[in-house]
Amino acid sequence: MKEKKIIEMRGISKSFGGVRALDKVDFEIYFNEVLALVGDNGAGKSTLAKIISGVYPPDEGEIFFEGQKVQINNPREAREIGIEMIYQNLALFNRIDVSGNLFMGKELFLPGIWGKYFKFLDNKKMHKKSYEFLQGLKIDIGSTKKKAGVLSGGQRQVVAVGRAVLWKRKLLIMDEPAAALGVKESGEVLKLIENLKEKGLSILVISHNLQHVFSVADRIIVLRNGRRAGEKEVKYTTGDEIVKLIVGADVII
Amino acid sequence: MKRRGSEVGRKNKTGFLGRSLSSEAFKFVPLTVLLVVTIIFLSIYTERFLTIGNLLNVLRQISYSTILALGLGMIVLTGGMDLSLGNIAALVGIVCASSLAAGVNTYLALLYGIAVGVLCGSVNGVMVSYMGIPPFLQTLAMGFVTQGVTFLWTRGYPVYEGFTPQFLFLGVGYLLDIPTPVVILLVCFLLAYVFISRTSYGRYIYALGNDEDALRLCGINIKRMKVLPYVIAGFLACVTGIVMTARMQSGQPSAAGLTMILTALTAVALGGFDLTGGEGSLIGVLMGGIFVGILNNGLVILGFGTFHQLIIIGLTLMGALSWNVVRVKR
Repeated sequence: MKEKKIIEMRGISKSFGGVRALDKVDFEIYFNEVLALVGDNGAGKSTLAKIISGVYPPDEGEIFFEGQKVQINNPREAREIGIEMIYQNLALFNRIDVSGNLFMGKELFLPGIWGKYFKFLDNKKMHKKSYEFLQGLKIDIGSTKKKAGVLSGGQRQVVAVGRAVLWKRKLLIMDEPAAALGVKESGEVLKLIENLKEKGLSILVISHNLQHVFSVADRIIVLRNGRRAGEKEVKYTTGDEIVKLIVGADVII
Repeated sequence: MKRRGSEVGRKNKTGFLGRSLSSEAFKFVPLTVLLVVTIIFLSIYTERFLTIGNLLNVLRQISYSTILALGLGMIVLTGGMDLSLGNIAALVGIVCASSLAAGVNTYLALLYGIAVGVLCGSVNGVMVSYMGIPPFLQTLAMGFVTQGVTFLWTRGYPVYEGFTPQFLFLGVGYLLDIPTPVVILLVCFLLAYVFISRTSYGRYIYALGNDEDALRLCGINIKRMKVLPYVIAGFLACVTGIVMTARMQSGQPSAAGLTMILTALTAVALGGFDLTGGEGSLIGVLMGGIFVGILNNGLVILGFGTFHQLIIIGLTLMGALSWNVVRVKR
């Protein structure tokens, strides 16, 4: 499995005051891969994700996106090159409908001067497109006229992710996507991740739940104390092996 | 977050449409009931209320504060507030009246007035958005400034010289037997309604009140979007000031002020606006405005004075605000 890398990071370090959160971490995600980033609390997972999505600049290290050296200074620049972080609070507009949420900031306008100069929305077209789009993700959300506030946790996740897909992002970062969801809903989210992969996206999943990780990920990278502790392909590893990498217990056994 | 189990898994589109429409309409049920009950009560207990002349009179009386309320409603949608609109309207009226008194051409006088009002609105917007001043305090301060300028300029005396027929038409004229202020209110309402519900700006205004950070993540220039409703409200305050001045045939320094904001805010609250932003329909503002107008008119017919009106409108505002809080919590 040596395909092209969508993102490659070399020697990434980041300190907060005296705490070294990341210490010369190498990291890569291949095209159309679901990569799980696991590790104990404080291992540096979130810091790494925030560096990729432009929230923090790294102290040291280089980032290559689709083979090009890039500098990601803020979340907007990350989005411009095609990286989207799906935030845990999901950033949805609860009292606006699903279609409005999906197209927020990328609205479709009526043809002619009404749309061009007066910015009149083509609501019909947006509803139709978002309905087709959600069908394409094989997600049943009911009507696109529902307000986001009445959706279930899984459906909200779909809308948040759908927005990123609709905007043609290439790499999605999902931080604990199934945390705080029920069993059925986390099942929906895992299915969604599979569908996204089918659509050709690359996905970085940060999760504590090894069961989820094993059901969706292609590859797992383990961080421990800000260092890369190991890398395993899901097909050729076991939960035990990953747990040992997470806690660093190889020595004892 | 509310979850309704019965909705999950249903595919019937007309069902959802019906449900969402009925839930939209449900918001106006209490207000409609209130309106109908008040109208029936006044029709039975007074003879003067249910006449075409009186009803047109009510519509004309509400037109000033309701035009103002349309702008206030947009600001409230973003989670803001504007207490200065009434005083801006009074200042605009004085600017127009004084310009006419000085022999300025009607259209130029209108332009001066509008320029002053839009400037005040813009200052409010910029201070709130770019400086991060709490809207209550910024607009309260602006209210004092505009009121001070108004009184300083006129020394407290009304200005009633040099009104032209074209200017007076805006307040006392009729178009197709309908008083001009009512026509102007309807035009303002239609424009504002289409703007807020059909354009992307309108959608951003709603979204701003829903979740500012989320909107920023969508790549929208939040700061600029936040200024917009204050500018529009400033413009609508100009319209109010002009129509009111033309109606009274004099520029009254103490014409509007806080009382008018009280009335407008009551219309907005009755219209089901959540004062933390993000929810409300301008149709509600119009209905709320009509209700306040009928209430005032009924009180006058029943023999109550201005002070009673203030108390009743204030209590109505409290009631409407409490109802909205209860409704959102439910």
